[in-house]
Amino acid sequence: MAKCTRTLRIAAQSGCCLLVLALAGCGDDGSDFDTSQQIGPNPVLPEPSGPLVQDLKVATVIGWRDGETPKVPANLRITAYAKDLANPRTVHTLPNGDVLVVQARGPSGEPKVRPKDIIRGWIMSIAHGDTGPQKPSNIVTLLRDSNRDGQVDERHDILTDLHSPFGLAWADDTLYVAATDAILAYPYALGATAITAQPHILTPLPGGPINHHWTKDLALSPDGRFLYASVGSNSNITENGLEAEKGRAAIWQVDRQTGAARVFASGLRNPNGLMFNPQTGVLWAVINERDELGPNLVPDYLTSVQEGAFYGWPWSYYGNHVDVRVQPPRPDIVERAIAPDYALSSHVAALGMTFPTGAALPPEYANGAFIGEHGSWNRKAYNGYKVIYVPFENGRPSGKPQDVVTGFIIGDDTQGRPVGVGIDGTGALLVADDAGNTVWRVAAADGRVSPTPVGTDQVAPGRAGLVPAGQPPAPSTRRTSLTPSPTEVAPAVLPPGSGGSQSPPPWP
Amino acid sequence: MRDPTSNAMAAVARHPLASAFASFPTACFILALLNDIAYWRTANLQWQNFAEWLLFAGLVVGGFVLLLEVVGLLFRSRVRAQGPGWLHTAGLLVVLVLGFINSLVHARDGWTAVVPQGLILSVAMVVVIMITGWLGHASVVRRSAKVVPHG
Repeated sequence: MAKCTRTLRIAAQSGCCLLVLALAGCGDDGSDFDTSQQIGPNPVLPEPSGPLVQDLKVATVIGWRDGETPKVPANLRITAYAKDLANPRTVHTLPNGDVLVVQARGPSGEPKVRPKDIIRGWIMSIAHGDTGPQKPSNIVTLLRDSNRDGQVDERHDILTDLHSPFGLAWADDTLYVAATDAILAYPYALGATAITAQPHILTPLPGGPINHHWTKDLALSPDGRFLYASVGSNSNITENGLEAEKGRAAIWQVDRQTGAARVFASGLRNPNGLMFNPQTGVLWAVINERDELGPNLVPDYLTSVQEGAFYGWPWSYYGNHVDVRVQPPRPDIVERAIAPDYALSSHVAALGMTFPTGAALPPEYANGAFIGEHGSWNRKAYNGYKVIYVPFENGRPSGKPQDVVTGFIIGDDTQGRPVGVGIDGTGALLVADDAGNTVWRVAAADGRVSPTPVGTDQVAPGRAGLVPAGQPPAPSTRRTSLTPSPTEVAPAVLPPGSGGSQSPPPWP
Repeated sequence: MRDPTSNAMAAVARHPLASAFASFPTACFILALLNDIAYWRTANLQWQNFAEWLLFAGLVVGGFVLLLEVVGLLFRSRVRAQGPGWLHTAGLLVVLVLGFINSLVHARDGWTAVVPQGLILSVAMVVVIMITGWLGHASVVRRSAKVVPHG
């Protein structure tokens, strides 16, 4: 009896020790970490940590009362542009100055595969403040400021019952809507306040049933020929299997005439905020990096998107920082990974980006990028929940960012969360606030407006002519020279000569 | 008169519901270990997901059994008088604590949800189950041997 008592005591003590160790792992909450070390081209990347209980701190959404606004610096003025929306995510300005607001909710019905999925779904619903009855969403609303005084005079829901839309583009009397599973093309002439025609599907995009990162953003190439669509990964870090990631974590290039699509750049975990730099004609985007490596990994980033480039996800981050959670390891693929241009610090959840094309803002905002940071939820010290401005020089980020729109967080509550940003028809910055159900307008405090409206999509004069109807499109000459995206070529299979795909994976 | 001490089964005497469910967590946790081994050898996600549900089910039913056993120990003195009763309960408590930690490890994303910590914890759980079972059995045999000559 004494013997078994001792055995039990030892067992109980071991259990307690493990529990203490586990809880000790939760001590690092990120509040004593200077996040500014992770902003810029060379972020400080601490060692990954894998605490047993992941940090989780979601600000409760309390919304805005009448008269309340976020805060802006003294040389700017913020007003509510449109209120009572249903989860506005992105704004898009047409060449005539009309603003389209995409309101959307994520698709439902993602299969619950693990006990964790049920818990996560519950937490995300708190984060988005949608615990009560919901107004219908998945709408595109047109906002018209007829007299260019910064106030909306007309409001029309031009598209309803869409399938979780996010990105928009407009060219040649066609409105392109990136729903979560396809790019839809609607005949739409500028000035119309309704769309009655049925769309045609330009190209399908990776959709359900898993569809983990569902937001598909759009940008029109400066020559008007291609649409660029962002397709986020189908998991945090391949926990749904690599086969679920085909064509994902990538930016697609879609031929506007034929719908032919290919992966333009890959390894981008959750890209959004696609826009061509008006000076250099290079595509830029903001990317949400992976979670559960601790409060200070991995920094989200702003980057130029190079054709054919691979940015690491899932096998590595910031070049060759290997993520051991992905099996089997692929050093041959990690070797190809390139580091992004400009880190924004960890878990800020950058979801929107715009260059100040056609803006009428104070001169310090003339050359740079505005970024909407939705805000952290897997980090104890809040990060993000604001709109920042990253100054550019010679087409590249240069220097530290400035806070532009802040004041979303009050203690452990938040009144709203910024997502998409854009420039309206009068040159002011618009910010879609999906939790506060508002679009905010940030204008110069002196009330200046731009001489003429400028659309979000900039098509350069003398663009490569579109093929007239009835003729076959010119073949893409660059297509064959590209290496396919690593997630498109049976990535779960080891390369030849590495011991075969059947050998058991090694211990880490 | 029926004397519980003369009955080998009485060594593990519990609430009848506890008896009915007692083997459920054991089966779950042993299967969870087999799933973890399968995942370690194949990296096939099915095994990781299955192990998570087995740990979850084992914890829920095991927690219920533990509750019934604790109540039995506190309020049924005849049961308390026997070593193996609380031995089994204490063993179950240790397994459930390990199982809870193991569930948190398994809830991670990717390979490190199982290898190595999840697999080690699953082994530890099954080892504790085996030790508790063996000690309980040995105790029963010993007591039965002692009781019979007087019977």
